[in-house]
Amino acid sequence: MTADQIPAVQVHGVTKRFGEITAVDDVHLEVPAGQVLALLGRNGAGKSTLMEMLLGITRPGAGEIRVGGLAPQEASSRGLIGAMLQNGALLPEETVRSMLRLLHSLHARPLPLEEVAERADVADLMSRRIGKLSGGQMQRVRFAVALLGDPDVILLDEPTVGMDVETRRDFWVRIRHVARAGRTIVLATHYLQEAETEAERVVVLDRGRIIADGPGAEITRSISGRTLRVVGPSPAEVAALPGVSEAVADAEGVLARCTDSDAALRALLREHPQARGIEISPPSLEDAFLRLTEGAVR
Amino acid sequence: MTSRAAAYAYHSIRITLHQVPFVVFTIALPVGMYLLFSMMFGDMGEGAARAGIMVNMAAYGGLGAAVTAGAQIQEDLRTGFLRQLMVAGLTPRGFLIGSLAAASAIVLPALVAVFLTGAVTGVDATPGRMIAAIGVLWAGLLPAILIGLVLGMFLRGSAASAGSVVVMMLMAIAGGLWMPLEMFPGWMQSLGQGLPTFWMSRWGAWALGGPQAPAIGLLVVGIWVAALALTVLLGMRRSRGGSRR
Repeated sequence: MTADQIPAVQVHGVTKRFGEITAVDDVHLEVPAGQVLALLGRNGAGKSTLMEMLLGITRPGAGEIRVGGLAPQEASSRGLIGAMLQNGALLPEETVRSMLRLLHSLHARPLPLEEVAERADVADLMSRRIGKLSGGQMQRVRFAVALLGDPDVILLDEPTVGMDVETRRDFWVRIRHVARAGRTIVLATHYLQEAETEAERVVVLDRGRIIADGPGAEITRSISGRTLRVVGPSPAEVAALPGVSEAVADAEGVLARCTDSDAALRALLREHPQARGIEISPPSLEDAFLRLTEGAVR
Repeated sequence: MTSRAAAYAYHSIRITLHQVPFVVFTIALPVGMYLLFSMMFGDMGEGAARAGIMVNMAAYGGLGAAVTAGAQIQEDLRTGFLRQLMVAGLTPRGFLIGSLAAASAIVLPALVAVFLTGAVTGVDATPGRMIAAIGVLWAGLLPAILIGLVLGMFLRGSAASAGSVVVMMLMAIAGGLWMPLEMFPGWMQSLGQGLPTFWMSRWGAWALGGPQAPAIGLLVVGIWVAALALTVLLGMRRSRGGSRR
Protein backbone atom coordinates (compact mmCIF):
# COMPACT_ATOMS: atom_id res chain seq x y z
CA MET A 1 0.00 0.00 0.00
CA THR A 2 1.39 3.38 -0.93
CA ALA A 3 0.19 5.47 1.95
CA ASP A 4 1.42 8.68 0.34
CA GLN A 5 -1.05 8.51 -2.50
CA ILE A 6 -4.14 7.83 -0.43
CA PRO A 7 -5.66 11.09 0.80
CA ALA A 8 -5.48 11.31 4.57
CA VAL A 9 -9.12 12.32 4.76
CA GLN A 10 -11.92 11.95 2.22
CA VAL A 11 -15.36 13.35 2.93
CA HIS A 12 -17.88 12.69 0.25
CA GLY A 13 -21.37 14.26 0.25
CA VAL A 14 -21.66 13.99 4.02
CA THR A 15 -24.79 15.23 5.77
CA LYS A 16 -25.68 14.96 9.45
CA ARG A 17 -28.92 16.08 11.03
CA PHE A 18 -29.87 16.30 14.69
CA GLY A 19 -33.64 16.55 14.66
CA GLU A 20 -34.51 19.77 12.89
CA ILE A 21 -30.95 21.02 12.77
CA THR A 22 -28.70 20.19 9.85
CA ALA A 23 -25.28 20.29 11.46
CA VAL A 24 -23.33 19.22 8.37
CA ASP A 25 -24.85 19.75 4.96
CA ASP A 26 -23.52 17.88 1.91
CA VAL A 27 -19.84 18.47 2.62
CA HIS A 28 -17.15 17.36 0.19
CA LEU A 29 -13.55 17.60 1.37
CA GLU A 30 -10.31 15.89 0.52
CA VAL A 31 -7.20 16.40 2.61
CA PRO A 32 -3.92 15.13 1.14
CA ALA A 33 -1.50 13.41 3.48
CA GLY A 34 0.78 15.83 5.27
CA GLN A 35 -1.42 18.89 4.92
CA VAL A 36 -2.17 21.28 7.76
CA LEU A 37 -5.73 22.43 7.31
CA ALA A 38 -7.70 24.92 9.39
CA LEU A 39 -11.42 24.60 9.73
CA LEU A 40 -13.04 27.94 10.44
CA GLY A 41 -16.59 28.57 11.47
CA ARG A 42 -18.74 30.12 14.14
CA ASN A 43 -20.09 28.08 17.00
CA GLY A 44 -22.57 25.63 15.58
CA ALA A 45 -21.13 25.81 12.07
CA GLY A 46 -20.60 22.05 12.11
CA LYS A 47 -16.87 21.81 12.86
CA SER A 48 -17.15 19.55 15.88
CA THR A 49 -19.77 17.34 14.26
CA LEU A 50 -17.55 16.92 11.22
CA MET A 51 -14.62 16.00 13.46
CA GLU A 52 -16.67 13.49 15.40
CA MET A 53 -17.68 11.85 12.15
CA LEU A 54 -14.04 11.67 11.06
CA LEU A 55 -13.30 9.87 14.31
CA GLY A 56 -16.16 7.43 13.93
CA ILE A 57 -17.83 8.67 17.13
CA THR A 58 -20.84 9.94 15.19
CA ARG A 59 -22.14 8.30 12.04
CA PRO A 60 -23.00 10.46 9.04
CA GLY A 61 -26.67 10.51 8.05
CA ALA A 62 -25.65 10.41 4.39
CA GLY A 63 -22.41 10.29 2.42
CA GLU A 64 -19.11 8.58 2.98
CA ILE A 65 -15.99 9.26 5.00
CA ARG A 66 -12.56 7.65 4.64
CA VAL A 67 -9.55 8.17 6.83
CA GLY A 68 -6.37 6.83 5.29
CA GLY A 69 -8.66 4.93 2.91
CA LEU A 70 -10.50 3.21 5.76
CA ALA A 71 -13.86 3.66 7.44
CA PRO A 72 -13.44 6.02 10.43
CA GLN A 73 -14.05 3.38 13.10
CA GLU A 74 -11.52 1.08 11.48
CA ALA A 75 -9.04 3.97 11.26
CA SER A 76 -9.54 4.73 14.96
CA SER A 77 -9.19 1.07 15.79
CA ARG A 78 -5.86 0.88 13.94
CA GLY A 79 -4.59 4.06 15.51
CA LEU A 80 -4.41 6.03 12.26
CA ILE A 81 -6.24 9.00 13.74
CA GLY A 82 -5.94 10.87 17.02
CA ALA A 83 -7.72 13.89 18.40
CA MET A 84 -7.81 16.67 20.90
CA LEU A 85 -11.53 16.84 21.57
CA GLN A 86 -12.96 20.12 22.75
CA ASN A 87 -15.41 18.57 25.15
CA GLY A 88 -13.64 15.30 25.69
CA ALA A 89 -14.03 14.96 29.42
CA LEU A 90 -11.06 13.42 31.13
CA LEU A 91 -11.31 11.59 34.45
CA PRO A 92 -11.24 14.42 37.01
CA GLU A 93 -10.52 12.16 39.99
CA GLU A 94 -7.53 10.47 38.39
CA THR A 95 -3.93 11.49 37.96
CA VAL A 96 -2.71 12.33 34.48
CA ARG A 97 -0.53 9.23 34.50
CA SER A 98 -3.35 6.94 35.53
CA MET A 99 -5.64 8.17 32.75
CA LEU A 100 -2.91 8.10 30.13
CA ARG A 101 -2.07 4.53 31.15
CA LEU A 102 -5.70 3.56 30.61
CA LEU A 103 -5.87 5.12 27.14
CA HIS A 104 -2.40 3.81 26.32
CA SER A 105 -3.57 0.25 26.95
CA LEU A 106 -6.35 0.64 24.35
CA HIS A 107 -4.23 1.80 21.45
CA ALA A 108 -3.16 -0.49 18.63
CA ARG A 109 0.42 0.78 18.38
CA PRO A 110 0.99 3.38 21.09
CA LEU A 111 4.07 5.48 21.63
CA PRO A 112 5.88 4.89 24.92
CA LEU A 113 4.17 6.89 27.66
CA GLU A 114 7.30 8.77 28.65
CA GLU A 115 7.89 9.85 25.07
CA VAL A 116 4.35 11.18 24.80
CA ALA A 117 4.78 13.02 28.10
CA GLU A 118 7.92 14.63 26.78
CA ARG A 119 6.45 15.59 23.40
CA ALA A 120 3.30 17.09 24.86
CA ASP A 121 5.18 18.71 27.76
CA VAL A 122 3.17 17.00 30.47
CA ALA A 123 6.05 15.24 32.23
CA ASP A 124 5.70 17.60 35.19
CA LEU A 125 1.94 17.01 35.37
CA MET A 126 1.96 13.21 35.43
CA SER A 127 1.17 12.81 39.13
CA ARG A 128 -1.29 15.70 39.32
CA ARG A 129 -5.02 15.14 39.60
CA ILE A 130 -6.73 16.03 36.34
CA GLY A 131 -9.55 17.90 38.07
CA LYS A 132 -7.02 20.30 39.57
CA LEU A 133 -5.28 21.35 36.36
CA SER A 134 -5.62 24.78 34.82
CA GLY A 135 -7.24 25.22 31.42
CA GLY A 136 -3.91 25.45 29.65
CA GLN A 137 -2.49 22.40 31.44
CA MET A 138 -5.64 20.49 30.56
CA GLN A 139 -5.07 21.30 26.89
CA ARG A 140 -1.53 19.92 27.15
CA VAL A 141 -2.94 16.72 28.59
CA ARG A 142 -5.45 16.56 25.74
CA PHE A 143 -2.58 16.99 23.31
CA ALA A 144 -0.82 14.08 24.98
CA VAL A 145 -4.01 12.04 24.56
CA ALA A 146 -4.01 12.91 20.85
CA LEU A 147 -0.39 11.78 20.42
CA LEU A 148 -0.67 8.53 22.41
CA GLY A 149 -1.59 6.34 19.48
CA ASP A 150 1.11 7.75 17.19
CA PRO A 151 -1.54 8.72 14.61
CA ASP A 152 -1.01 9.81 10.99
CA VAL A 153 -3.95 12.19 11.15
CA ILE A 154 -4.48 14.49 14.12
CA LEU A 155 -7.64 16.49 14.72
CA LEU A 156 -7.30 19.51 16.97
CA ASP A 157 -10.58 21.03 18.11
CA GLU A 158 -9.92 24.49 19.55
CA PRO A 159 -6.50 23.37 20.82
CA THR A 160 -5.30 26.63 22.33
CA VAL A 161 -8.46 27.60 24.20
CA GLY A 162 -7.59 28.61 27.75
CA MET A 163 -3.90 29.18 27.04
CA ASP A 164 -2.10 32.43 27.66
CA VAL A 165 -0.07 33.98 24.84
CA GLU A 166 3.21 32.42 25.86
CA THR A 167 1.81 28.95 26.39
CA ARG A 168 0.08 29.22 23.05
CA ARG A 169 3.31 30.09 21.27
CA ASP A 170 5.11 27.21 22.95
CA PHE A 171 2.24 24.88 22.11
CA TRP A 172 2.45 25.78 18.43
CA VAL A 173 6.15 25.01 18.37
CA ARG A 174 5.24 21.52 19.54
CA ILE A 175 2.44 21.08 17.03
CA ARG A 176 4.70 22.23 14.20
CA HIS A 177 7.23 19.68 15.33
CA VAL A 178 4.59 16.98 15.12
CA ALA A 179 3.41 18.24 11.71
CA ARG A 180 6.92 18.22 10.32
CA ALA A 181 7.03 14.44 10.70
CA GLY A 182 4.55 14.27 7.78
CA ARG A 183 1.37 14.05 9.78
CA THR A 184 -1.89 15.46 8.53
CA ILE A 185 -3.42 18.02 10.85
CA VAL A 186 -6.97 19.29 10.82
CA LEU A 187 -7.42 22.21 13.14
CA ALA A 188 -10.63 23.92 14.22
CA THR A 189 -10.07 27.29 15.77
CA HIS A 190 -11.65 30.61 16.67
CA TYR A 191 -8.31 32.36 16.44
CA LEU A 192 -8.12 33.46 12.83
CA GLN A 193 -4.56 34.54 13.14
CA GLU A 194 -3.68 31.00 14.15
CA ALA A 195 -5.37 29.67 11.04
CA GLU A 196 -3.63 32.22 8.87
CA THR A 197 -0.13 31.57 10.13
CA GLU A 198 -0.25 27.84 10.90
CA ALA A 199 -2.38 26.31 8.19
CA GLU A 200 -1.52 25.98 4.51
CA ARG A 201 -5.20 25.60 3.69
CA VAL A 202 -8.29 27.16 5.21
CA VAL A 203 -11.80 25.76 4.89
CA VAL A 204 -14.63 28.01 6.02
CA LEU A 205 -17.73 26.24 7.26
CA ASP A 206 -21.00 28.08 7.70
CA ARG A 207 -24.23 26.45 8.81
CA GLY A 208 -22.92 23.05 7.83
CA ARG A 209 -21.68 24.03 4.37
CA ILE A 210 -18.22 24.77 3.00
CA ILE A 211 -18.32 28.35 1.75
CA ALA A 212 -14.63 28.89 1.08
CA ASP A 213 -11.63 26.62 0.60
CA GLY A 214 -8.05 27.60 -0.17
CA PRO A 215 -4.88 29.13 1.26
CA GLY A 216 -5.69 31.81 3.83
CA ALA A 217 -4.27 34.57 1.62
CA GLU A 218 -6.33 33.45 -1.35
CA ILE A 219 -9.56 33.38 0.61
CA THR A 220 -8.84 36.79 1.94
CA ARG A 221 -8.18 38.13 -1.55
CA SER A 222 -11.10 36.51 -3.29
CA ILE A 223 -13.65 37.57 -0.75
CA SER A 224 -13.25 41.19 -0.02
CA GLY A 225 -10.58 42.56 -2.36
CA ARG A 226 -8.23 45.19 -1.00
CA THR A 227 -8.72 48.21 1.11
CA LEU A 228 -7.72 51.63 -0.21
CA ARG A 229 -7.11 54.59 2.08
CA VAL A 230 -6.64 58.02 0.64
CA VAL A 231 -6.65 61.65 1.84
CA GLY A 232 -7.90 64.38 -0.47
CA PRO A 233 -10.82 63.32 -2.64
CA SER A 234 -14.33 63.04 -1.22
CA PRO A 235 -15.95 59.67 -0.54
CA ALA A 236 -18.32 60.19 -3.50
CA GLU A 237 -15.37 60.85 -5.83
CA VAL A 238 -13.57 57.73 -4.64
CA ALA A 239 -16.73 55.63 -4.93
CA ALA A 240 -17.04 56.71 -8.57
CA LEU A 241 -13.62 55.30 -9.47
CA PRO A 242 -13.43 52.04 -11.43
CA GLY A 243 -12.66 49.00 -9.29
CA VAL A 244 -14.13 50.51 -6.11
CA SER A 245 -17.19 48.84 -4.64
CA GLU A 246 -17.85 51.20 -1.76
CA ALA A 247 -16.21 54.14 -0.04
CA VAL A 248 -16.83 55.75 3.33
CA ALA A 249 -15.35 58.71 5.20
CA ASP A 250 -12.58 57.70 7.57
CA ALA A 251 -11.02 59.63 10.45
CA GLU A 252 -8.48 61.24 8.13
CA GLY A 253 -9.78 60.67 4.63
CA VAL A 254 -11.63 57.98 2.73
CA LEU A 255 -11.68 54.26 3.25
CA ALA A 256 -12.69 52.28 0.16
CA ARG A 257 -13.21 48.59 -0.52
CA CYS A 258 -11.85 47.61 -3.93
CA THR A 259 -12.70 44.80 -6.29
CA ASP A 260 -9.71 45.81 -8.45
CA SER A 261 -7.27 47.94 -6.50
CA ASP A 262 -4.87 48.33 -9.46
CA ALA A 263 -7.53 49.93 -11.68
CA ALA A 264 -8.75 52.06 -8.80
CA LEU A 265 -5.23 53.34 -8.08
CA ARG A 266 -4.50 54.22 -11.72
CA ALA A 267 -7.76 56.16 -12.03
CA LEU A 268 -7.25 57.83 -8.66
CA LEU A 269 -3.82 59.22 -9.62
CA ARG A 270 -5.05 60.32 -13.05
CA GLU A 271 -8.23 62.04 -11.90
CA HIS A 272 -7.22 63.30 -8.47
CA PRO A 273 -3.56 64.32 -8.58
CA GLN A 274 -3.96 66.01 -5.19
CA ALA A 275 -4.56 62.64 -3.50
CA ARG A 276 -2.01 61.78 -0.81
CA GLY A 277 -1.39 59.37 2.02
CA ILE A 278 -2.39 56.51 -0.23
CA GLU A 279 -2.38 53.10 1.39
CA ILE A 280 -3.47 49.81 -0.14
CA SER A 281 -3.75 46.87 2.21
CA PRO A 282 -4.99 43.33 1.94
CA PRO A 283 -7.83 42.66 4.34
CA SER A 284 -7.13 40.26 7.15
CA LEU A 285 -8.54 36.77 7.17
CA GLU A 286 -10.73 38.02 9.97
CA ASP A 287 -12.32 40.61 7.64
CA ALA A 288 -12.84 37.92 5.05
CA PHE A 289 -14.31 35.51 7.56
CA LEU A 290 -16.72 38.06 8.94
CA ARG A 291 -17.90 39.03 5.47
CA LEU A 292 -18.25 35.42 4.39
CA THR A 293 -20.32 34.40 7.35
CA GLU A 294 -22.15 37.62 8.07
CA GLY A 295 -25.37 36.09 6.80
CA ALA A 296 -25.27 33.96 9.92
CA VAL A 297 -25.80 36.81 12.35
CA ARG A 298 -28.90 38.15 10.65
CA MET B 1 -14.07 -10.46 25.40
CA THR B 2 -11.74 -8.59 23.09
CA SER B 3 -8.30 -7.62 24.34
CA ARG B 4 -9.30 -3.95 24.38
CA ALA B 5 -12.38 -4.63 26.47
CA ALA B 6 -10.14 -6.67 28.80
CA ALA B 7 -7.61 -3.84 29.02
CA TYR B 8 -10.39 -1.40 29.74
CA ALA B 9 -11.83 -3.69 32.41
CA TYR B 10 -8.41 -4.04 34.04
CA HIS B 11 -7.83 -0.29 34.25
CA SER B 12 -11.38 0.37 35.42
CA ILE B 13 -10.85 -2.07 38.27
CA ARG B 14 -7.49 -0.51 39.08
CA ILE B 15 -8.98 2.98 39.13
CA THR B 16 -12.00 2.00 41.22
CA LEU B 17 -9.98 0.11 43.81
CA HIS B 18 -7.72 3.15 44.20
CA GLN B 19 -10.69 5.13 45.41
CA VAL B 20 -10.41 4.74 49.16
CA PRO B 21 -13.97 5.82 50.03
CA PHE B 22 -15.35 3.27 47.59
CA VAL B 23 -13.37 0.43 49.11
CA VAL B 24 -14.17 1.46 52.68
CA PHE B 25 -17.84 1.93 51.88
CA THR B 26 -18.25 -1.38 50.12
CA ILE B 27 -16.10 -3.50 52.43
CA ALA B 28 -16.03 -1.96 55.89
CA LEU B 29 -19.72 -1.18 56.10
CA PRO B 30 -21.09 -4.66 55.39
CA VAL B 31 -18.36 -6.29 57.49
CA GLY B 32 -19.20 -3.95 60.37
CA MET B 33 -22.91 -4.62 60.03
CA TYR B 34 -22.32 -8.35 59.90
CA LEU B 35 -20.33 -8.14 63.13
CA LEU B 36 -23.06 -6.06 64.77
CA PHE B 37 -25.96 -8.26 63.73
CA SER B 38 -24.17 -11.53 64.40
CA MET B 39 -23.30 -10.28 67.88
CA MET B 40 -26.95 -9.41 68.49
CA PHE B 41 -28.73 -12.28 66.79
CA GLY B 42 -26.03 -14.69 65.66
CA ASP B 43 -26.64 -17.27 68.36
CA MET B 44 -30.33 -17.68 67.54
CA GLY B 45 -31.27 -21.08 66.16
CA GLU B 46 -28.20 -22.59 67.78
CA GLY B 47 -25.86 -20.40 65.73
CA ALA B 48 -27.59 -21.07 62.39
CA ALA B 49 -28.69 -17.44 62.20
CA ARG B 50 -25.07 -16.35 61.86
CA ALA B 51 -24.75 -17.95 58.41
CA GLY B 52 -27.91 -16.20 57.22
CA ILE B 53 -26.65 -12.84 58.48
CA MET B 54 -23.35 -13.42 56.69
CA VAL B 55 -25.09 -14.14 53.40
CA ASN B 56 -27.39 -11.14 53.76
CA MET B 57 -24.68 -8.68 54.69
CA ALA B 58 -22.42 -9.91 51.89
CA ALA B 59 -25.35 -9.43 49.51
CA TYR B 60 -25.88 -5.95 50.93
CA GLY B 61 -22.20 -5.01 50.49
CA GLY B 62 -22.13 -6.40 46.99
CA LEU B 63 -25.32 -4.53 46.20
CA GLY B 64 -23.76 -1.22 47.17
CA ALA B 65 -20.68 -1.88 45.06
CA ALA B 66 -22.75 -3.05 42.11
CA VAL B 67 -25.14 -0.11 42.02
CA THR B 68 -22.30 2.37 42.43
CA ALA B 69 -20.27 0.70 39.70
CA GLY B 70 -23.23 0.74 37.36
CA ALA B 71 -23.84 4.43 37.99
CA GLN B 72 -20.14 5.12 37.36
CA ILE B 73 -20.40 3.53 33.90
CA GLN B 74 -23.13 6.02 33.06
CA GLU B 75 -20.98 8.84 34.34
CA ASP B 76 -18.27 7.91 31.81
CA LEU B 77 -20.88 7.80 29.09
CA ARG B 78 -22.28 11.16 29.99
CA THR B 79 -19.13 13.17 30.56
CA GLY B 80 -17.96 12.18 27.11
CA PHE B 81 -15.07 10.05 28.33
CA LEU B 82 -16.45 7.28 26.14
CA ARG B 83 -15.70 9.47 23.12
CA GLN B 84 -12.08 9.61 24.23
CA LEU B 85 -12.08 5.82 24.63
CA MET B 86 -13.60 5.39 21.18
CA VAL B 87 -10.90 7.51 19.57
CA ALA B 88 -8.39 5.22 21.24
CA GLY B 89 -10.10 2.30 19.50
CA LEU B 90 -12.55 0.93 22.04
CA THR B 91 -15.98 0.24 20.53
CA PRO B 92 -19.17 1.06 22.47
CA ARG B 93 -19.74 -2.67 22.70
CA GLY B 94 -16.24 -3.20 24.08
CA PHE B 95 -16.88 -0.41 26.55
CA LEU B 96 -20.08 -2.03 27.78
CA ILE B 97 -18.54 -5.49 28.06
CA GLY B 98 -15.40 -4.16 29.76
CA SER B 99 -17.43 -2.01 32.14
CA LEU B 100 -19.70 -4.88 33.13
CA ALA B 101 -16.71 -7.14 33.66
CA ALA B 102 -15.07 -4.50 35.83
CA ALA B 103 -18.26 -3.92 37.81
CA SER B 104 -18.58 -7.67 38.38
CA ALA B 105 -15.01 -7.82 39.62
CA ILE B 106 -15.24 -4.94 42.05
CA VAL B 107 -18.23 -6.42 43.87
CA LEU B 108 -16.12 -9.45 44.79
CA PRO B 109 -14.00 -7.90 47.57
CA ALA B 110 -17.13 -7.04 49.55
CA LEU B 111 -18.46 -10.60 49.26
CA VAL B 112 -15.14 -12.19 50.13
CA ALA B 113 -14.51 -9.83 53.05
CA VAL B 114 -17.83 -10.60 54.72
CA PHE B 115 -17.43 -14.36 54.17
CA LEU B 116 -13.90 -14.30 55.56
CA THR B 117 -15.13 -12.44 58.62
CA GLY B 118 -17.93 -14.98 58.90
CA ALA B 119 -15.47 -17.87 58.71
CA VAL B 120 -13.37 -16.52 61.58
CA THR B 121 -16.38 -15.63 63.74
CA GLY B 122 -17.93 -19.04 63.83
CA VAL B 123 -20.09 -19.53 60.75
CA ASP B 124 -20.29 -23.26 60.37
CA ALA B 125 -19.80 -24.18 56.72
CA THR B 126 -17.17 -25.95 54.63
CA PRO B 127 -14.92 -23.84 52.38
CA GLY B 128 -16.56 -25.47 49.35
CA ARG B 129 -20.01 -24.33 50.42
CA MET B 130 -18.70 -20.88 51.24
CA ILE B 131 -17.24 -20.52 47.74
CA ALA B 132 -20.47 -21.83 46.21
CA ALA B 133 -22.48 -19.26 48.18
CA ILE B 134 -20.15 -16.45 47.05
CA GLY B 135 -20.67 -17.64 43.48
CA VAL B 136 -24.44 -17.55 43.85
CA LEU B 137 -24.42 -14.07 45.35
CA TRP B 138 -22.03 -12.89 42.68
CA ALA B 139 -24.29 -14.05 39.87
CA GLY B 140 -27.27 -12.56 41.70
CA LEU B 141 -25.67 -9.12 41.64
CA LEU B 142 -25.91 -8.73 37.86
CA PRO B 143 -29.37 -7.08 38.12
CA ALA B 144 -27.96 -4.65 40.69
CA ILE B 145 -25.16 -3.58 38.29
CA LEU B 146 -27.73 -3.06 35.57
CA ILE B 147 -29.97 -1.09 37.96
CA GLY B 148 -27.02 1.22 38.61
CA LEU B 149 -26.58 1.64 34.85
CA VAL B 150 -30.25 2.43 34.32
CA LEU B 151 -30.35 4.82 37.29
CA GLY B 152 -27.40 6.67 35.82
CA MET B 153 -29.32 7.10 32.58
CA PHE B 154 -32.11 9.00 34.23
CA LEU B 155 -30.34 10.78 37.09
CA ARG B 156 -27.24 12.94 36.89
CA GLY B 157 -24.33 13.71 39.19
CA SER B 158 -25.24 13.95 42.87
CA ALA B 159 -28.85 12.94 42.14
CA ALA B 160 -27.46 9.71 40.69
CA SER B 161 -25.46 8.91 43.82
CA ALA B 162 -28.36 9.83 46.11
CA GLY B 163 -30.70 7.82 43.93
CA SER B 164 -28.46 4.79 44.02
CA VAL B 165 -28.26 4.90 47.82
CA VAL B 166 -32.05 5.07 48.09
CA VAL B 167 -32.61 2.27 45.59
CA MET B 168 -29.97 0.16 47.26
CA MET B 169 -31.56 0.62 50.69
CA LEU B 170 -35.03 -0.14 49.36
CA MET B 171 -33.82 -3.28 47.66
CA ALA B 172 -31.92 -4.36 50.76
CA ILE B 173 -34.79 -3.74 53.20
CA ALA B 174 -37.69 -4.85 51.00
CA GLY B 175 -35.70 -7.88 49.88
CA GLY B 176 -35.30 -8.93 53.50
CA LEU B 177 -31.54 -8.52 53.78
CA TRP B 178 -31.72 -6.59 57.05
CA MET B 179 -34.75 -8.11 58.68
CA PRO B 180 -36.52 -11.35 57.82
CA LEU B 181 -39.33 -10.73 55.35
CA GLU B 182 -41.75 -12.50 57.69
CA MET B 183 -41.63 -9.49 60.02
CA PHE B 184 -43.25 -7.30 57.36
CA PRO B 185 -46.94 -6.92 56.44
CA GLY B 186 -48.24 -9.24 53.74
CA TRP B 187 -48.13 -6.78 50.85
CA MET B 188 -44.49 -6.00 51.57
CA GLN B 189 -43.70 -9.70 51.63
CA SER B 190 -45.22 -10.08 48.16
CA LEU B 191 -43.24 -7.07 46.95
CA GLY B 192 -40.06 -8.49 48.44
CA GLN B 193 -40.51 -11.75 46.59
CA GLY B 194 -40.41 -9.84 43.33
CA LEU B 195 -36.94 -8.46 44.12
CA PRO B 196 -33.66 -10.10 43.11
CA THR B 197 -32.21 -9.30 46.54
CA PHE B 198 -34.70 -11.62 48.25
CA TRP B 199 -33.76 -14.49 45.99
CA MET B 200 -30.04 -13.85 46.33
CA SER B 201 -30.44 -14.30 50.04
CA ARG B 202 -32.51 -17.48 49.64
CA TRP B 203 -30.24 -19.10 47.08
CA GLY B 204 -27.15 -18.00 48.98
CA ALA B 205 -28.46 -19.67 52.11
CA TRP B 206 -29.24 -22.78 50.09
CA ALA B 207 -25.70 -22.91 48.73
CA LEU B 208 -24.42 -22.78 52.32
CA GLY B 209 -26.45 -25.89 53.10
CA GLY B 210 -29.81 -24.33 53.96
CA PRO B 211 -33.21 -25.35 52.65
CA GLN B 212 -33.83 -25.75 48.91
CA ALA B 213 -34.99 -22.43 47.43
CA PRO B 214 -37.84 -22.46 44.91
CA ALA B 215 -36.85 -22.26 41.25
CA ILE B 216 -39.23 -19.36 40.68
CA GLY B 217 -36.45 -17.18 42.12
CA LEU B 218 -34.35 -17.85 39.05
CA LEU B 219 -37.22 -16.70 36.88
CA VAL B 220 -37.60 -13.48 38.87
CA VAL B 221 -33.89 -12.70 38.57
CA GLY B 222 -33.97 -13.61 34.87
CA ILE B 223 -36.85 -11.23 34.18
CA TRP B 224 -35.05 -8.42 35.98
CA VAL B 225 -31.88 -9.02 33.97
CA ALA B 226 -33.74 -9.17 30.65
CA ALA B 227 -35.79 -6.03 31.29
CA LEU B 228 -32.81 -4.05 32.58
CA ALA B 229 -30.49 -5.19 29.79
CA LEU B 230 -33.06 -4.13 27.22
CA THR B 231 -33.37 -0.70 28.84
CA VAL B 232 -29.58 -0.32 28.85
CA LEU B 233 -29.27 -1.27 25.18
CA LEU B 234 -32.06 1.08 24.11
CA GLY B 235 -30.58 3.88 26.19
CA MET B 236 -27.14 3.34 24.67
CA ARG B 237 -28.51 3.34 21.16
CA ARG B 238 -30.27 6.61 21.87
CA SER B 239 -27.14 8.25 23.26
CA ARG B 240 -25.00 6.94 20.39
CA GLY B 241 -26.53 9.37 17.90
CA GLY B 242 -26.20 11.82 20.61
CA SER B 243 -23.55 14.46 20.82
CA ARG B 244 -25.39 17.72 20.72
CA ARG B 245 -23.27 19.66 18.31
